[in-house]
Amino acid sequence: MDIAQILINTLVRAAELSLLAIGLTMVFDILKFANFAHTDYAVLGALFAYVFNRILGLNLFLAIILAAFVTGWVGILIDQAIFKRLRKIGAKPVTLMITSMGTAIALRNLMRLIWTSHTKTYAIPLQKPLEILGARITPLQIGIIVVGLLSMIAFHLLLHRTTFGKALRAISDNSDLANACAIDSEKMIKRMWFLASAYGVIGGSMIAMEHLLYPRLGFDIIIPVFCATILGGIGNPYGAMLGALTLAFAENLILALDLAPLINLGGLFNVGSIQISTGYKPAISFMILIIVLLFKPTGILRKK
Amino acid sequence: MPIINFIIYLLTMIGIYSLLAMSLNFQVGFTGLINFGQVAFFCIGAYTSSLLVVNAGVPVVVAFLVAMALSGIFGYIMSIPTKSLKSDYWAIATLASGEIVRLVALNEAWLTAGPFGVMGIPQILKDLIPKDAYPVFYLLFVIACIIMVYIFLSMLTNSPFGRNLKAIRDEEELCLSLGKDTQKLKLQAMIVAGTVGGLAGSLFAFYIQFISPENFKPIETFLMWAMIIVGGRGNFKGAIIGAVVIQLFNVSTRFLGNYVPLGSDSMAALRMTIIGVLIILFLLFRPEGLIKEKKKVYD
Amino acid sequence: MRKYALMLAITIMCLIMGFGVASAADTFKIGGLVPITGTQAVMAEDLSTGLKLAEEEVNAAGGVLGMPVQVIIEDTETRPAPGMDAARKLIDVDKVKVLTGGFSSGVSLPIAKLCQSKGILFVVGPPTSPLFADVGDFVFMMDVLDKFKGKEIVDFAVGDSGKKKFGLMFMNNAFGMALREETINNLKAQGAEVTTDVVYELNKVDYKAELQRLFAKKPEVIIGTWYAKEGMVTAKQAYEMGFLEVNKVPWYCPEMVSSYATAVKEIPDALEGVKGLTPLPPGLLYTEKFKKKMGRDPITAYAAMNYDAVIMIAMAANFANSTDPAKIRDALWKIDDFYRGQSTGGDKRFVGGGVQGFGKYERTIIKGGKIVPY
Repeated sequence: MDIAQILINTLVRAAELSLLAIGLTMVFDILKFANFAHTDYAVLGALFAYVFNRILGLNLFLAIILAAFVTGWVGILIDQAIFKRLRKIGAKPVTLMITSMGTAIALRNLMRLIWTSHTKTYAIPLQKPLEILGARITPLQIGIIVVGLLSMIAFHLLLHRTTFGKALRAISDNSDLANACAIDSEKMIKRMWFLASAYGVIGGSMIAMEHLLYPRLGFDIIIPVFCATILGGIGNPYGAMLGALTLAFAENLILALDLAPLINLGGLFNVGSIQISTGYKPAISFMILIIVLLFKPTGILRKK
Repeated sequence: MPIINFIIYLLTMIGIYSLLAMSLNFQVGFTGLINFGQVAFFCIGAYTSSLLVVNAGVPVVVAFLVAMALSGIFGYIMSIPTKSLKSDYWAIATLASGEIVRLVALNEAWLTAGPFGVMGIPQILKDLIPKDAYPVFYLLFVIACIIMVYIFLSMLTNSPFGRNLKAIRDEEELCLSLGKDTQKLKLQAMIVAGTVGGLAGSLFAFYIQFISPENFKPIETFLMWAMIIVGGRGNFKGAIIGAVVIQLFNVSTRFLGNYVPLGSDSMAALRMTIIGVLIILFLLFRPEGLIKEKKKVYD
Repeated sequence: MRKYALMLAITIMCLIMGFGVASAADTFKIGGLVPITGTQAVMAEDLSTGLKLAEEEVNAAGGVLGMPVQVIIEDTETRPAPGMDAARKLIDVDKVKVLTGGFSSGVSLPIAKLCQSKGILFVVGPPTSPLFADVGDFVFMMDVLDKFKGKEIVDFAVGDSGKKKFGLMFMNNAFGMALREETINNLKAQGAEVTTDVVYELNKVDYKAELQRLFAKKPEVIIGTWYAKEGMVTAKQAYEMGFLEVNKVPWYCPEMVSSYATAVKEIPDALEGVKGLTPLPPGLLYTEKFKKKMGRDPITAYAAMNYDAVIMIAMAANFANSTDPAKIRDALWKIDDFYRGQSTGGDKRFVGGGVQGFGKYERTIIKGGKIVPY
């Protein structure tokens, strides 16, 4: 087992996942529903960034910022067109969740209609890995970890140092009371959608940069993102980060684990090596999700 | 008349999906259980019955019954967490459990032949029915199953048990305060739904005569959801109508393809986009679906 | 409301019927099954192009019995149920007597059984499962069975590297698992050891944990296969983790074109020195035609199977002087002497069960961003 490499892989994956999980947890917290279309917003943004970068020839960094901005507005528009109507007629959170499932299917296939199913890559050359403590890491991966960290700090400051952040926390705690205090909830919700979608785009673009980009990507990453969110405790952005870290670590560790020493009992038996079949890798996040839901549905960090 | 064959085939598939939609409707429309892992019942039913017949030589009737029982038991297992979980959390957990069932079928190759799938599933009563009449026979068999399930579920939902289920859906708190054991009711509902789903799975396996894990991806669940949202929840006619509409819509694009200036990939993408939009539009503007639930007033 | 529902259903039904009957009579129709949507959608354009190229070529040469050939392409969605919809529609509504194409064995196998029971000829394109051989006399295969590919890659890897400890990485579907089994059997027969045996799920974006596992027990040689998307991600991640260093641990791939078509263009440096098997030179003729039509390189070698299938069906129908599937079936056994295929294996010749009996490959290596003979 190569612990250093596992830790590096974990950090990179956690940086990507937590940016997606933050947006999901915010929407879940304020509007009380699980937005199944969240990762598809992120992929939409990543595709916008692809257009700006590869077709318009914009610098990749600028392209992603611009795409985050545009997708932020898309998030607001979809909310105005769909979710706001449902809120107005007092639909149950469950109805909103099912609607988001429909939105996800429609959006994902709309992207396919526009961009086709072919895989896309940004204009980044192949990276030569650097060696740190026997493990390999590319400059891009270091960049991803740094951007991930900076985004979290920015989010923390936003939540605690701005009036928007305070209002958001107030709504989260008690929306009726917040209304009574003359906080314009709808306005705050708009800003929240913008922020959630934009953060998702940064996460989605980082996944696209490090791996691949294609319209179905949103569906392929939704379960790990949900898992990280719930694991961390819904409504708690720091929980989302911690959840992402835990999940990423589990994903990387479980396949490397050899259970044989446990069963051999210090030489009593010799069963060779017992490892989980790699075919079950996709089940890891499902299993963690179910176990967390069963035994600690509030997640690791309770909402403050 | 080959075209008749195609219609018979289409109706048989619609019938099998109607059963799945009815089972889902029983959970969503009557009990308020949001199951995103409905495909698990389908999978367990199909695998159990076909493996019993192919590998163990069990009579088909017994295999069907065991398949239904196992799916029912899985429904029971799925229902356990509803005790402590809010419905949206439970929904996410069901999505995960549906995928886990498929991954087990994919990876436990000693039992399920893994990605190769189960081959050589025999036709039921093959020797007694003339070959040309077989498609019609199977369609009638599926229809008979639908009628039985329809009557059974209708009786169930019109009984005090069914009224209690609806009470959970509408006012769970109130239900609890009236001293009803809502947990037990949910549990029973899931067993019933699982059994029906298992029947649909068995019918599917013995119709297509080959199953593999690829049959049981999450998209199947989403299609079943589209059926009950379009058709209408809280009644079984809606589930059947929904299955008809969605399945017909799905095949219709095969025929429209030549008349719409779009490539096939775009055509398929467009089809799924429309299904997604349909779900949204129905939930926004006609949440009760095509067929409205008849609400009875009890004194 | 019930009226609405009924009306909607009837309208859709009418649409289907109306459009269904509107099709020309005096063309020779071949049904082409292509996974246009679903998990293998990336390759769909190539697979359809293979069919269309052959259609154009046959028609330019005078068609079948004086009739133009029409390949009707239907989407299998890479799922068995819609695959069945597609096949039934082709057979019952379009009244085709010959089917070809297919991709995933899981989707195509039930269709093969249906064809056998209805007396429809099914010349299976890309799928390689040996199970097709058992379905019956109306089912033929264009691709070479996995056992040839498995033996060839093992002979190559063992002979070329001179090493004995192997790490394997195959996809968890019918194609990957069959090839993996053949590879393991052949490795054992050669006295080599399999240190790690990784199976991976398709359509994931992160294969680092799988790669970590693959290299945990220090294999000396890697044998693995991918599709374009997974091949790209795995190559990139293996390179970044320092695993793709062919001087230390050589990589062999039984499906160079299908695995690395995208990767070799996007990240050629990572793959420098990877060796494997590629269709024999006649396949290049097809590649040229493809490039001329599409203006790009093909991303999968499987599409050439579809091309070969359509050409052979047309040849057989002309040879039999009939469009009757049973007669075309018999003619297929005779014309295979005259046709040098464009797809993997080169010479197309059927043996028992209607499968391809001759597996020939070229040993290739990736050099300077190109797949060249080794």
